Amino acid sequence: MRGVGDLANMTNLLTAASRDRKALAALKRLGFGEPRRALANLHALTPDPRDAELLSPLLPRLLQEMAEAPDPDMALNNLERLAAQGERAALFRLLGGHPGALHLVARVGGTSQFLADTLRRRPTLLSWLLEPGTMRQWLADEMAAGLAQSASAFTRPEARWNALRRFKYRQLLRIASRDILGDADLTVTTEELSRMADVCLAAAWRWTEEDLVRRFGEPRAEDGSPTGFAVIGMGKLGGDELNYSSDIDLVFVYGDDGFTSGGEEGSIANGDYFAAGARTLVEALESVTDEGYAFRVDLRLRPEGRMGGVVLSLAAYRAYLEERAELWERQALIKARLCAGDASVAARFLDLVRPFVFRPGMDPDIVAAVRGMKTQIDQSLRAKGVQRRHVKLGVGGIREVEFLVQALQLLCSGDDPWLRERNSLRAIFRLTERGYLPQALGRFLGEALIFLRTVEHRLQILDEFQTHTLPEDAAALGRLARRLGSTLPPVEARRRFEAEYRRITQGVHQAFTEFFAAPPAARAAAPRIPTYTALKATGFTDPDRARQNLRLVLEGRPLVPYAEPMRRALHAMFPVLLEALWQSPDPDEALNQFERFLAAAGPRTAYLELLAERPDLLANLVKLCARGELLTQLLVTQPELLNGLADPSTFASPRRRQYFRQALAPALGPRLPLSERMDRLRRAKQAEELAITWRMLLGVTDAERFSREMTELAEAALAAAWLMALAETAEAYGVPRDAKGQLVGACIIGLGKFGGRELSTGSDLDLFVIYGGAGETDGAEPVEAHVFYDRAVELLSSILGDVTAAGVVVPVDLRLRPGSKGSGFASSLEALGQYYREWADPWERQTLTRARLVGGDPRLGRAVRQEIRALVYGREAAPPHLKEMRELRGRMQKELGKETPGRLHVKFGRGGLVDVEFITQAIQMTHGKRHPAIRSPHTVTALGAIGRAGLLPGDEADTLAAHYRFLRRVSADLRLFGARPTDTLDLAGPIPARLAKSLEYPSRKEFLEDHKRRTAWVRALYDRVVPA
Amino acid sequence: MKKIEAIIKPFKLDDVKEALTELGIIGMTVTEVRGFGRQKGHTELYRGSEYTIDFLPKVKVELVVPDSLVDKVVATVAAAARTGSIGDGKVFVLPMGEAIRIRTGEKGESAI
Repeated sequence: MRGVGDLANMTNLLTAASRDRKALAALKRLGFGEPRRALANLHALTPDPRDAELLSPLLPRLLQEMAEAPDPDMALNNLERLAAQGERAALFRLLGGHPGALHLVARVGGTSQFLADTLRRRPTLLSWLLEPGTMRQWLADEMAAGLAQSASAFTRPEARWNALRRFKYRQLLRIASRDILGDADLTVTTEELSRMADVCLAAAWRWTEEDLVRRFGEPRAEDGSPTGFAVIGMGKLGGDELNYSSDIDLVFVYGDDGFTSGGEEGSIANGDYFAAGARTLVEALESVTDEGYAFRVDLRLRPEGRMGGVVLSLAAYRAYLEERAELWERQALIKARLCAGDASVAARFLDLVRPFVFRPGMDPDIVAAVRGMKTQIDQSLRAKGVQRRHVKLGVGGIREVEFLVQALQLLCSGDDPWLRERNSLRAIFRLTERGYLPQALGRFLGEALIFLRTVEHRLQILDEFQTHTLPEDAAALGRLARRLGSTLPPVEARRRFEAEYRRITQGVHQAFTEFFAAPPAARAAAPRIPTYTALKATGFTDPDRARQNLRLVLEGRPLVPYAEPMRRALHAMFPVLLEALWQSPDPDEALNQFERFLAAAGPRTAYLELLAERPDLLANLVKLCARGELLTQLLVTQPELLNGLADPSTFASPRRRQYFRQALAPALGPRLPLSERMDRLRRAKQAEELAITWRMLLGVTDAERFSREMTELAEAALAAAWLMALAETAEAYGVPRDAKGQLVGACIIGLGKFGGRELSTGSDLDLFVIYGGAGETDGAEPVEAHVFYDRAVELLSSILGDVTAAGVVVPVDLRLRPGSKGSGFASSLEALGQYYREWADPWERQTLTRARLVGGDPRLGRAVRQEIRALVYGREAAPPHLKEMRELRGRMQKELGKETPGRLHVKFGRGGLVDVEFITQAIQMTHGKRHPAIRSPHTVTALGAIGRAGLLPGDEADTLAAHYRFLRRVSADLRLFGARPTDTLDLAGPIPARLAKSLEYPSRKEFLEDHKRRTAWVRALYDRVVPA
Repeated sequence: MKKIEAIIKPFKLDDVKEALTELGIIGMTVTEVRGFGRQKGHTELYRGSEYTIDFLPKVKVELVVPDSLVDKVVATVAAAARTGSIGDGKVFVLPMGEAIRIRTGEKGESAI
């Protein structure tokens, strides 16, 4: 910058006459628009010769900083006003002594009148802003601690609220300064502003509640349980994208109706209680005192808007959503999240809202409604005249971007939960990642939103007005451009800015218009959709729905038109698809699921091209889709799994344990946080499970082999999870050692289906853990061995069973462990024997017939196996208590089977799987002492041995095994058909027919008759072996 | 009568002022000062540039209160000025010989 050098020598600038031409010219050269005023400000800055003496060494640097500020005149003027506020000498010393001070004062003062005024009102904050600890990103916890610290000195409510207001301005100044200095980008700034609002809301609600509880007691539901209140953030607050001067959009909900427990002013209805709380809260946040105000609150997004009650119970909210809620209200709820208050109420609220916001499948009404809303926007724009200068509502403005994003979210996130994202920018990234937005468009929209939001920010931070309109005045526009970061002279900066603004808004508007334009007329080349009759004839039961689905397959979901390569791929694929559908067990379901898969994966052309090139893969995929929702859901959420299925080695040969161990190994990455490893384990296991199922569907493996692979996969997952659990626990406590310093090991015993190697889709893992004996860990915080393994097992259970964003690995069931429910999760070897000898019920001993070592320390495992054998088959083991077994079986049949004439239960029903298992186990426990061969936990193997040992007459053992295999296949198929695994077979629905087809019976009737015959045979044998 | 002198972080001034107002204290003298205690001169890194600090900006609050209020005022100032980090400051309690209100010539506690 020319001129600064001259000025360094111009010690007389501070004393120059106010009309000194040389001085004025120099200031003009520096970029001051009003040199006279600047000179006057310099004079005002140093009313005393002593002040001038202090300031003159800084003068060159000061003028340089002012000149580089977006608006030099404003910056200098604000500095002068700040100086007038306190001791000049102190300020000048600070400006001279701190390397960041002049820069901060110039940038903030030259960018935002609002912030400069805030600083002037609280000049002591300047030194706070200049502390290194201040100018960084603060976590919510740190902000909360800061607010609590400030408020703790006060008891009077008004004083506390003032402390909150001061806290807000302090934080605002910090966040905005970082933004203006370029230390924080838009995402960080808006997130910090949102966190700051959350922190204030949480404290504000806590104070309000304290007062309410004192006056009225605690609110209780009708049944006497406590109930709470949640402050739900919506709009920009909900999306963590708050502006400097945004109102905060809130909705208040409370848990249940009822009355308060009573306080100083008696008891009132919960509704009145929370309404009073909400009013106090809003009033306190909004009221303006000497210390300013906290937030402006907007409650119009509540049900019925201005007409509705300020607080609503969850039940009332549900009723509203069911009866009245309009599309825009559902759209607004995309952004809902807990800001303050009771987390469990908020969780219930979000659970309640979710199905209304995110509907599975494609709701054709949405498209029409979204188009309707878009037309309204157009009309309101037309009514106001084309507004190019309105950053938010204008043509190509923020609203067009947000509307487009939210419309896509409403349309697609019912099937793809990944898209349920509150933050607009992240939503754009996710939509692009999933392919709903083409890469280039997604990138552009992200860039556009950042640009427009930054412009909005800089407009609003000037005076803290909620302005969205670009200034008309060329000079003002130039200053805005410089506030946006341009270092060019104002005229040039303005020209560049205008060009950029035009480019962005035109691009946005073009995308917006094209996106909502009606789809182009179907091309001539499009394949013809088969007629109603043709579809009916080929096995579709609902040809209308099928035609609609086929149209969606060909044309894409509305508003998500296909790109050209995709369209070609689909057209090429269409005949193959029809062929595959006709051959599948359930064409209707297959098509439904295929359309869902396509909607999620389809935009990624690569998958489609893969399918078009590989008719075999497509046919298999259709088969998979026909098997129902559970598997398709996996593919819908992770279309990349399709790549694995396309790999021929996936189906080539059955897989062994070693392979699964390798496949799951990436989950063990030692440097990853546990949560990331858990998610990796989930994804890897699910991919393998899909491949296992895929092989079974394609006939590479039979039902038996399928269970074996599922079991071995579970064992591999268990091994990985056990390693993770042990490592985490050892990190906290060290490893357990006995008195001699030897490691106290542990092993894992599988029971039930897991023990019997009979796992299928959706099975739990029944297991317990046995450790060697007494000991203590060698870590800094020593604990006993049983505590160590208790923790490890608990962690194991959550590593495998917790539902995270990536789903579950497999739920763990520890209820069959030795000891009562209240006891620890792991037992010592000694306790194991003692428990079964002295305490266990006969049925608990029966469960041990299926015990099998599935993991952990093999040496200890052998000892445990020996002990278990002694317990079940040893010399002193009692023979089975057949009468008790029968009673137990009767209860299972009644309470778990719940069979009716129209509903069978494959597992617990008469003649079901459990009958076979009980027959086998009764024989094992009776004869196992003398016939070690029949002791296998695997039912079919055990039956084979029972037959060979002649323990059942004739070929009854083989027949029983055959029926068992049949029932297992029915069960396995049933589990694949439904959204959630079940063993219940409803005779009325479509399921029996589907089972008949997949089990290759000529008809539904023949399948059911065979089922009846087989179960009757099993039951007859059961009555003989386990008599009353 | 005692004189209370508190050296505090500048940005805590408003909290301290409001807390004292809550106690019914309306008069005080505030000076911007510089100084250091345990937080003595050291180098710091601010937004990437290193610099040496000899004296830190602080605010000195001075007030004279009757003996009955001393403990309360000291506790209040300490609570309101606290952030928990180094440099929170100090409170000094000094004996007070006499106070005179210049306008009226009142002396002692009625003058404060």
